[in-house]
Amino acid sequence: MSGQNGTTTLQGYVGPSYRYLAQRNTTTSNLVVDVPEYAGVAEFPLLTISGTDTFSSHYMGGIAGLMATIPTSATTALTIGVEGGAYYTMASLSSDGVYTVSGGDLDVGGGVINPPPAPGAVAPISIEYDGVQYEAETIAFAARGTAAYTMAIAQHAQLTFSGSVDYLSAVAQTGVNASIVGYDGDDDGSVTYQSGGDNERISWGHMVNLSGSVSLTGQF
Amino acid sequence: MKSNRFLMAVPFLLGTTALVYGADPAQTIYPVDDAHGFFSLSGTVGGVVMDLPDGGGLFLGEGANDANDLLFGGTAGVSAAIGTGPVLGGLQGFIGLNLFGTYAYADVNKTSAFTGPGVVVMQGGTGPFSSLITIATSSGATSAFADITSTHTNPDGGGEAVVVEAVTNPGPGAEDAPYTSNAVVGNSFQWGGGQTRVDGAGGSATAYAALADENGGVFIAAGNLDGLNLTQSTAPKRFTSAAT
Repeated sequence: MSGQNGTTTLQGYVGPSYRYLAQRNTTTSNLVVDVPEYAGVAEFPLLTISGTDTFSSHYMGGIAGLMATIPTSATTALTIGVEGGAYYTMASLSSDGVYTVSGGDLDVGGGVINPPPAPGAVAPISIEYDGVQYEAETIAFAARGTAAYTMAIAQHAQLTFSGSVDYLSAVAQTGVNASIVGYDGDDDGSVTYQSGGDNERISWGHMVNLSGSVSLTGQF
Repeated sequence: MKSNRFLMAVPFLLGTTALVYGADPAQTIYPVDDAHGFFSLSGTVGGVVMDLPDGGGLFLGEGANDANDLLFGGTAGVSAAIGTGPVLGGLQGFIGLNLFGTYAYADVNKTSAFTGPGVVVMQGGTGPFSSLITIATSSGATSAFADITSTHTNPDGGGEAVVVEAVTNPGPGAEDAPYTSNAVVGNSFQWGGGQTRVDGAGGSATAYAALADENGGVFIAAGNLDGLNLTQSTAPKRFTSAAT
């Protein structure tokens, strides 16, 4: 709904909102442990990781906003608007990929390894994972700021140029279940990683969008 | 059951849209006739820059070139609004609907060159089935050690258990201890190793561990990450659609 305050028109609005967000990350990572061999005896094999993560997210909630439109001439106007929203969010993740190991030299010299590896180059090993599925849910908050310049191009038609900044507090991303202590300025520390039932594969990050657009509007 | 309930709720939510604003700012300079409603239709096209979470791993290493990668794309939308005439003591009322879709894409090739102390963790799939990896590194002026203990149960049976220790004590000296291990039963492997060095500049310790099976895998590097290079080619694609 809208009302007048001098020459400025104010518009307030509220209503339900639904968003669908699909993400497909095709990530091929070649991991090279390029550390000069300290003792000059052994060589780390090459580890290669390749994977594809696909997220689908549904946002169901509501928005509310306020806009102020200031006439700048008889046929033009400047509009500033802000909007906020809250959503119940459900995300699913499908993941597949392959890990491979090859090359290197396991002649470890004085290292203590139990069980001891066979010395020499490593025969190629390839492990595939496929069709892994996860789901998670959370509450997301959204905010938007918009500025627009509108000009009348006919009695019942307008052209609008607008720019906006969007923020969404919860966007699904990959996560791992690792506990890390130390490594705050030196190499004294520890890492514990555990997979299994309580491993939360989906974590949440925020999203920022910048957009510019042109709109043609007609009244009938 | 929960998913079904929410999918069934979507038409209800959209169908009860009320007092939504006129879909486009342009309407505010349209001379609204208080006594009569009107119908407004807008078409919108534009460009978009997206900054979304990178995903794909956890980088805690100092010096990691884990820059936020921007996605570029386009957006298109349709908005409609119907004026309802005066409401709430003379204010103009509208009922409206906005629909839009946005597609953004990036093709990124980058190399992260790590320096100094830190941790890198990357996981694929669910991570390996029932696994526990513990890493500890430490170094001083005259000594350094890097320990890895990794146990894994393969979902098909069998598994691997590896204990690795690289020690340089007392220095000067250096140690490399790379390892790989295959499950006797099932389809999985472990990879990793420890490195220690003590010289005139002091001590250094680094440990690596990776584990993969048919559920997924994980890679961890911890300690002094000097010389670790992680080369990635990533092609993220994002599609967003919305109705308000």
